[in-house]
Amino acid sequence: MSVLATDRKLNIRAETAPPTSPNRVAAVAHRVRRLPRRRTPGGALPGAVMIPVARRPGLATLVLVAILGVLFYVAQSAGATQASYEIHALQGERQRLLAEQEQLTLQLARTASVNQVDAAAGALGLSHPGRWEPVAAAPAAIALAPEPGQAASAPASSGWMSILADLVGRPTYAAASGR
Amino acid sequence: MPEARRLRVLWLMALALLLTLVLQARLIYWQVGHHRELWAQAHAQHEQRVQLPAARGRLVDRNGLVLASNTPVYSIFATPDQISERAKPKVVETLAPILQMSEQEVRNRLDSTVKFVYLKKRVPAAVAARLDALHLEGIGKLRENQRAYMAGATPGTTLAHQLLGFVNDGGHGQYGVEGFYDEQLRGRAGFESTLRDLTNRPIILSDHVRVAPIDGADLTLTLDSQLQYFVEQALAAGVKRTEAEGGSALVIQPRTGEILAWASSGGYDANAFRTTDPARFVDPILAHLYEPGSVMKVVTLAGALDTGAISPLTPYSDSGWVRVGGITIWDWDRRPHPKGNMTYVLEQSLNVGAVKVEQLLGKENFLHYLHAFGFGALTGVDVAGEVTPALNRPDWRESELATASFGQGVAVTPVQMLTAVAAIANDGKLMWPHLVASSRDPSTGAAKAVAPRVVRQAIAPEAAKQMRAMMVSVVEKGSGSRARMDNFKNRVFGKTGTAEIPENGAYSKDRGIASFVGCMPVEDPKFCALVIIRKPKPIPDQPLATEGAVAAAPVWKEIAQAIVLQQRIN
Repeated sequence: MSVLATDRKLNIRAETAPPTSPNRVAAVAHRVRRLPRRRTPGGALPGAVMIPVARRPGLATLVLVAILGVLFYVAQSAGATQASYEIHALQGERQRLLAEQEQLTLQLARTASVNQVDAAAGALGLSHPGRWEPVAAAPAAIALAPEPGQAASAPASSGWMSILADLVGRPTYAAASGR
Repeated sequence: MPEARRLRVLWLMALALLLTLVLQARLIYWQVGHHRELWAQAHAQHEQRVQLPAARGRLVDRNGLVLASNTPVYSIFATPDQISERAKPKVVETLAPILQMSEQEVRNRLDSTVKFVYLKKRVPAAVAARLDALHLEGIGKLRENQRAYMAGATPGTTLAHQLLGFVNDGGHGQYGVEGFYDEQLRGRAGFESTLRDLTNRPIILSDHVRVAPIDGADLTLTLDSQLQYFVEQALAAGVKRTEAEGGSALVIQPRTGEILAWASSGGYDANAFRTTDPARFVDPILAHLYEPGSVMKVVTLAGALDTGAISPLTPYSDSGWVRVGGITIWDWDRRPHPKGNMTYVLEQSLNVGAVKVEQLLGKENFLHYLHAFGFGALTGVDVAGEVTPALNRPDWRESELATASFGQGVAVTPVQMLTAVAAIANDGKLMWPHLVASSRDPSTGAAKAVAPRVVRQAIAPEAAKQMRAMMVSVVEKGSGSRARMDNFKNRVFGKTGTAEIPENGAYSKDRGIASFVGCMPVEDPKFCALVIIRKPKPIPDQPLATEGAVAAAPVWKEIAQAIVLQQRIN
């Protein structure tokens, strides 16, 4: 298309140039020589008709272009179809992963269900109390471990507690410290 | 000769032209004349429209614990004409153990003359994956969704089975919440339409139409899984201990009408609904009418308090019986009660006292309060299958009104009864009992809360307060003593009920319905619970074994203790 468009532009220029200027005609002829001739004689370039020009684009060239076009189209279609198959495969994979996610979510829900918690508690030997009574108690901080440095000194404050510890065979400093 | 040759050439050319014309005419006939018909045929051959199922919304409890979810399952099918005779024995031999079918069964299906046959429906994903790996010719799978429910407190049941219902093979919710909210939960299926190649693979980058499915809404229920589990356990233990036919228990928040637990014995596994007796699907809390017995005295006396006909201290005496409309009505102990008041009537659950109060109220007022407390109308609870008998019949006889005053000859559902008593706990406001706290739109993620709704002011707040105090007395001094709780002295209010069961036109004397309804703490009630034990077994040396006070109140107490601990009520 671009070749033809350029050709037409040249034609217009040739028509508008004054025919009496030999330099101008020569210049146009020189430029036309480098271009393929138009297939249909439109009479737009009277000066150029007389000049021997390069070969016209043959039927073979056009067939070649057409074949290339068709091949390009087929390649595009094949590529699109191939991409379709890949998309389909990926969609299948996505479905599989979603299904797996659903299964895992359900498994998680089952693991966290009250029934499972109850079973786990039972396995650990826990059970509901047969009888209970609420006891009013003042809030108090619970010391879970002795402060560093106190651990060594605690047994030292023994007195009779250390004798008791010897008797029962267990350290008693936690009880002695009032916890 | 050249002339003849030329003529032959001309004839040949004419013949070729004629043939060309015939061919072209034929082409025009098919491609222009029958264009529409052929296009439709080709389209049908190459285009495939696949339904895209919507994911059903999940059900979660008030703490976000899953109650019902979805799991993918696969239906395995065969296209017998694609399986060669040579490959068939191997296919049969491979499939039978994986699908847990006999070889003969598989062979029979593959020998079928149809183009498509199901081999096994709804197999787990793991089985489908094993089949995929084998790449057996002519064998395929279809993905489906299956509802999955959590395990319940008793073996062979799922949690809150009758309340939740189940989803059938067609994807439709049946019974319970699944049935009631089926449309919202189900969502809307989409579809996908694509061209397919010769091997049936979709060509997605072709004429492709896709309408995405709209997933169903997730529902957050007011139910508390932990409490539900405990209620199921306590009820099962109570039914076993009393050797009863069955039982139900229901817990509600009186201020909001939110249902916290809802259990009935004789349950089923909703994951195995296909093999369950359909009679078990019916929820006794909604669909089984029962005569509430003395629990109804709360309504009778509350109405009288509201009209001012009585006060808690109105003096009272009876001789142990009264004759109304040709029938004699006795107190449970058949003894005279020469000195007392209206609180005493409720404490001792005196039938004669209830009859006298009903007579003080009069027929119109009595029926008005029955309606005001929600009897004779559906509560509107958002669970499928609710029933109610009509109360507004014109032919109420005097004796029927008298027996109705103490809960005989009048049928209600457990949910109606508990809602009515919860109104007393809620300063006389009857609330709409409901199960869904909020719904979440899966596409936008926006949650829509369900607001509590006041149905009506059944009685004045002052009358409700007086009735609560009278019911505290029932627990502290009267028939509800087995519901007393340590550290909650004078803070539990309730009422026992024992009703005879009408069988073949007469009331059964040996087995009845024992119940207890109660709320706590009285100054700001956090919950109300109703426990019903159906037909507890009589014990020869324990005449009260079948009474609500003995059969139902201990179960109520167990449930109440669990709630106190869980909600840290003090």
